Amino acid sequence: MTELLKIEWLKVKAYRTFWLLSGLFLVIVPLILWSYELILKNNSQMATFLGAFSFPKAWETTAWIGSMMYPIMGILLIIFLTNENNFRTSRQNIIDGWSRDQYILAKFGVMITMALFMTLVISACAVFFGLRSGNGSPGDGIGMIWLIFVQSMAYLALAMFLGVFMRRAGVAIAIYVMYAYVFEFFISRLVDFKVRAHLGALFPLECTDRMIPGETKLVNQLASQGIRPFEQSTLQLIAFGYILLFSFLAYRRIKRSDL
Amino acid sequence: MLSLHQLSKRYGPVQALKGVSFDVPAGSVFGVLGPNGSGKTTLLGIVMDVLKADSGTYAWFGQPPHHSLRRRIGALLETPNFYHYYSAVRNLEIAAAIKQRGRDDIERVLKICGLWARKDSKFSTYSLGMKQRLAIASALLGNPEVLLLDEPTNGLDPAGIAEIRELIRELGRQGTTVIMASHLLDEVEKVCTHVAILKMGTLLTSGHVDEVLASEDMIEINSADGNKLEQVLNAMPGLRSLRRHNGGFQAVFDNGQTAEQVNRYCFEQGIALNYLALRKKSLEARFIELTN
Repeated sequence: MTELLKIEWLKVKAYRTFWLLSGLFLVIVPLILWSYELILKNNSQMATFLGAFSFPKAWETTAWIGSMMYPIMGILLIIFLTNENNFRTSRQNIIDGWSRDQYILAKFGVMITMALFMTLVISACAVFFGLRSGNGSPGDGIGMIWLIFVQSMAYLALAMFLGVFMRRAGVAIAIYVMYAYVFEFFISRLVDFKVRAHLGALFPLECTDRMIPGETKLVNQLASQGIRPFEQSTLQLIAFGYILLFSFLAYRRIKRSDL
Repeated sequence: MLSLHQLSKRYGPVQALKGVSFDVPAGSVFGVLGPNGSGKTTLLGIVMDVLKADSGTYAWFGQPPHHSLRRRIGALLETPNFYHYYSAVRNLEIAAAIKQRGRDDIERVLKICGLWARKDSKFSTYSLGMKQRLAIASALLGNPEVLLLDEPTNGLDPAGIAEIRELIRELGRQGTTVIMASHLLDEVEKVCTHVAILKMGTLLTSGHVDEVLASEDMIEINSADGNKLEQVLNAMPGLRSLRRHNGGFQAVFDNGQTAEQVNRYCFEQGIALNYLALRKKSLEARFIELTN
């Protein structure tokens, strides 16, 4: 696996888009958190009420705000995968001596590494902003790191699925961004209100958004109509289900198709 | 070196390969010849595991297919496939890493293919011919035991074509097995020792190039009295075909009559020839004959 990741690293280490998007994620997450912190500072009543950056809540706030930027990394993964399709380098990698399993494993390795990077950035921000607030200790609520990782994987698994199945980066990115930011939000709320409360959590990204609801908790409570929401463990199971499904579909496509 | 057994592949309604079987002997320069759409690239794609056969098997080095065996093969399949945003050197570093070869061979192969001066230029800035040269350089990395080249001279200028042909010949002399797909008969005739001919997915013939593409002699004849000459030639033993051509005749014989024998025969029959020429039936004519 290390060898495969070394080769994947060769493919991106001098790729400008890789540094641009990774750098953007690294910068924009703390910036957006800082803005949120400033908003709260200007409204001390709300800040006291929310206690947003006091541990353990600092973890959830950071993960919730930071998750809005996950599509940046999803877009990067889509670009990696569609590049391989467009340049036909996926085909060349096999010709040069990788098995299809190795090719797929390398891509899963990239996905997991990206999820770890996203988790690291969010966690570092949680510790930083939490410590700045001066309330509680970073050890409180540290279990949230796992949820951040699961959520990152869910966003990346959807990107993996689109990147493998779509040839054109532009189309795949447009579908991904529209789905992540617009479509899923509306459809899940529609299901909540028109079908049954909380059933909106059955969507691939929404299940992880509801694991780490942040201040959308209030909206979820409004929609609950007295019905109990899914347990945290159930939401995790739904997320695992989607991560496995998207990964399996991507795996099967690469394994079986003509390259 | 490579054995194919009953390989078949279908793309929707199109049967791209129909039960193709042949063997590529070690040390040969083996041409896979056929018109466009005959299944050459499909065949090579299957043996490099980028395409999946519907049925049939193949074996490299007498062993069942395994990805590690492909590291012993240098291949250029259809188009040069590289990361557009990277230079030649960076691209070859990736190829070398996958082939589990060191980086130390990169300079040699780039020099062989005439790209050393442009080694740091981005692939996207290369001309078609340069891209093709880089693909050949990548195939040569680490001195593979087998080279598999699909239309290797595509996009090259005449000097480039001559260089690559010479390179292939030289590698063949050094004992590298070269498998080359081409629709250029001239290329195959000049370079290959063995050949397989495909047409619409069917193997028409395979074997040593001299046997498969054996060209027949044709004798062109004329005399002042054309009608009498025609009568005499029609009566000549061993005549296979006779047809009028440019006011004279073209004759093909079954038993390899020489021009001298034809001349003597006509003279004995009272005909004085005013034109006699031996023509090689063109390889192209032979190919068209085989594939039609």
